[in-house]
Order: sequence, then structure tokens, then C-alpha cells
Amino acid sequence: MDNVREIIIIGSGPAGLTAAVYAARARLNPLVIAGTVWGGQLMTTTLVENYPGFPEGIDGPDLMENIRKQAENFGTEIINEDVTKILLNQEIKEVHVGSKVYYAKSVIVATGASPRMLSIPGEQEFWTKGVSSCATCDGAFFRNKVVVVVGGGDSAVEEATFLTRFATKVYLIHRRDELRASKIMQERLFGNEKVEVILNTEIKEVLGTTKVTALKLFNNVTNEESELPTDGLFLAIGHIPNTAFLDEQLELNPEKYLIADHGVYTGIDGVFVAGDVEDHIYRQAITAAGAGCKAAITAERWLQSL
Amino acid sequence: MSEHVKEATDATFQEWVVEGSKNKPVFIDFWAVWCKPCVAFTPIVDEVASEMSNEMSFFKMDADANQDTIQSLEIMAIPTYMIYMNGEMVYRDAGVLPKEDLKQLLKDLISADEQELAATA
Repeated sequence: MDNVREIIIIGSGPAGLTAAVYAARARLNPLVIAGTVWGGQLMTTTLVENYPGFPEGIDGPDLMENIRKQAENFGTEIINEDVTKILLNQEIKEVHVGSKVYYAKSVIVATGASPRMLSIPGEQEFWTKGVSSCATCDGAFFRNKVVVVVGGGDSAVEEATFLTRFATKVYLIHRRDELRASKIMQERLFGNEKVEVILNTEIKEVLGTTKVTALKLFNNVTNEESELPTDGLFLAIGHIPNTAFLDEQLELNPEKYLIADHGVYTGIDGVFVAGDVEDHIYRQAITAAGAGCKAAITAERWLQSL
Repeated sequence: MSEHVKEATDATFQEWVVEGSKNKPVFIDFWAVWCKPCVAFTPIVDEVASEMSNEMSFFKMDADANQDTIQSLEIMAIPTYMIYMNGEMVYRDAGVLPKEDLKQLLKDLISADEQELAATA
């Protein structure tokens, strides 16, 4: 076969595109299969303030555009399509994108993670009718309205703060007795008079007619149930790794994250991983980028050893 | 913008989309510049439009600049896309569809419409 590439990288967040920068500079002519919606989780965030090198912060989409350009400048080929099937357990790996098949000696899996759903009644029914997982996409439709953000981490606090640009009132609901978000983001949140934080509270049901009108809440300390009128519900309760397409060819933990030695090696020769698809602890843009670098260097050395 | 996708507005929505669909099926994509998934969807719509412009008319609408239509259609998430046929909205969903899936959806809706017309003729 003469159409066998050295390396294919699946995913186009900080992990995948950093791997591409390194692989392209190693003259491995990487192909990145970026997904229909490229760029990963940073494409739906606002200001990223903790990525080193940007003292004033940088918008998530701008950061990703920059890394993509950097990868392309060194010769990375990128296609904005989704992998539909993959065959890894063979010397030459096959990556299917619809009816097209790409072949490579090595593969880096950097497919990241997707927003987690609450899995409660009404959530699916009112999806896009007030229920959303993208505040930067849909926040503007809630001008002068009341919205709820659910979650307790950095993403939840960032979304709640962002939504105060549009909404008259933003409730942040979290099931535990304190937020997990970084202290600086919490300080900003608590200083915003449009925001009200409701702790120890779970959302049991989304209520509405043609669109969301209220949420059924449950206080897990007092066991009291109540209803909170709202026009919108934004989900920020973490992510689930995008590993379903692997069809169990690689080892997963019970939460469906990839298991990898040193955060890089899978159980299959020539198949490496990087980023949130494996990392269930740190999940930062900078750790994902670092993991992409590690995976590309490891893949380069493995290819040299053939 | 693709030559096959026209920019509809509050002023032209009724005539181009609703009334226009009585002559030829219409696809419309609601988007905004600050919505990155919308920006990812734009080239997909452009490509499908260039391949299917004989069977269907394609429009896009800036959700930021056309509040009347956005509010009357109760759009609360973008990208939202709708298909109009014979003056009625026949399909509505939100999110980004891969190119082949979008083409298949449109072809299925067009052929279902043709069968219905044949049955009532």
C-alpha cells in the first residue's frame, strides 16, 4: 500500500492540535480528523485566563484558531469530519470517515469529552427549548429573562457569570454544600448581584409547555421539594469522554475514560492517547496541550523504532 | 457567502421562506457570528446548497439582527435549522449535522412530500 500515512490524529482540541504541531515539525505529515465541529470544548468558552503566555487572557475560540494555524503552518492536513469506524488491532490502522478510509502506521486518539446530561424528566423534551449546554451559543436568547446554571465547577461559574450579560437573574444550583470552582472565579461570582447560588439542591425535573417555565428542585439536606420559575437551564455538570466510536478496542475504565500507561500508551502498539479522553483528573487546556505534545513525541520515537 | 445561500431578514422571511416554499422546498439556517458551532455548520450548508439547489432553496438568517423572526419562532438555541414546504414548517431541529446526514434528511423530506402530492393528485 502506498497510501499509508505515518500518523493520524483524531480530535482537534488542544491535545489533538498540539500533537499535530509536534508531529508536523517531525515531518510525519499528520492528518487530523477534526470532527464536524472542530476545536473541542474551548470553542464554547469565553475568556481563558489560565493558559500561560496570555497575560490578558485569550478567548477560547481564538486560542484554538491560533493552534490550528500553527499546526497548518508546519504542514498538517485537517479535515472537518467525524470518524465513523476505526480498526486499531492491526499493523496498518484503518480510520473510516463515511465511505472514505484512511490508513496509518500510528494513531493518536484525542477525542476529548462531551457535556454530561442530567438525565431527568423534561431535559430531552425541552432540549433547545430552554435547555442548553452552550451559554456562549444560546445566552443571547435569554435577554431580560431568568436562567439557571447547574453545576459547581469552573465551567458552571464561568457560564453563570457570562449569562449575567443577558439575563436579569442567574441562579447557580449545585448539589453539594460548596462549589468546586477556583477561588478567583467564585469571588467574581459572589460579587455579581445578579447571581444567586443555591447549594445542597438537585434538579429533579424540567417543567414547561412549549418551552421551559420552571424546575422542580429537591433540597438534599432538608428533603424539601420546591419549584423555581425560570426561562432557561444551562448544563455545566462535567463531561463524558468520547470513546464510544472505539467500539471497545481500547481498554476503558468504568466511567468510559481510556486507560493509558503514563497517560500515553494504550494496549495496542502504535496507538497513543492524549487529553480529556484519558485525563479524568486535571482536564485543563494546558494539560491537554501537554498531553498532545507527549503523545506526538512518543509516536515519533515509536515510528523511528520500526 | 455561497451563491446558493441567500441571507433572509425579518423583512423578507415571510415572502422568501414561507411563501417561497409553496413553489420550492426551503431550508433555512439560523446562526450568529458568536456561535462557533454555527460557524462550523456554515460551510456544510454551503456545500449541500451547491449540490441541491435545483431541488431546494437555501437561506440563512443572522439571529442577532432579526429579533422579530427569532422571537416569533421561539428560537432559543442555535444553530437551528428549519425546512418549509407548501407554506408550512415541516421539520425543525438544532445542532450541527454532518454533510451526508443533512443531505439525506433533505432528500427524505423531499421524496416524502412528492409521494404525498402524488397520492392526493
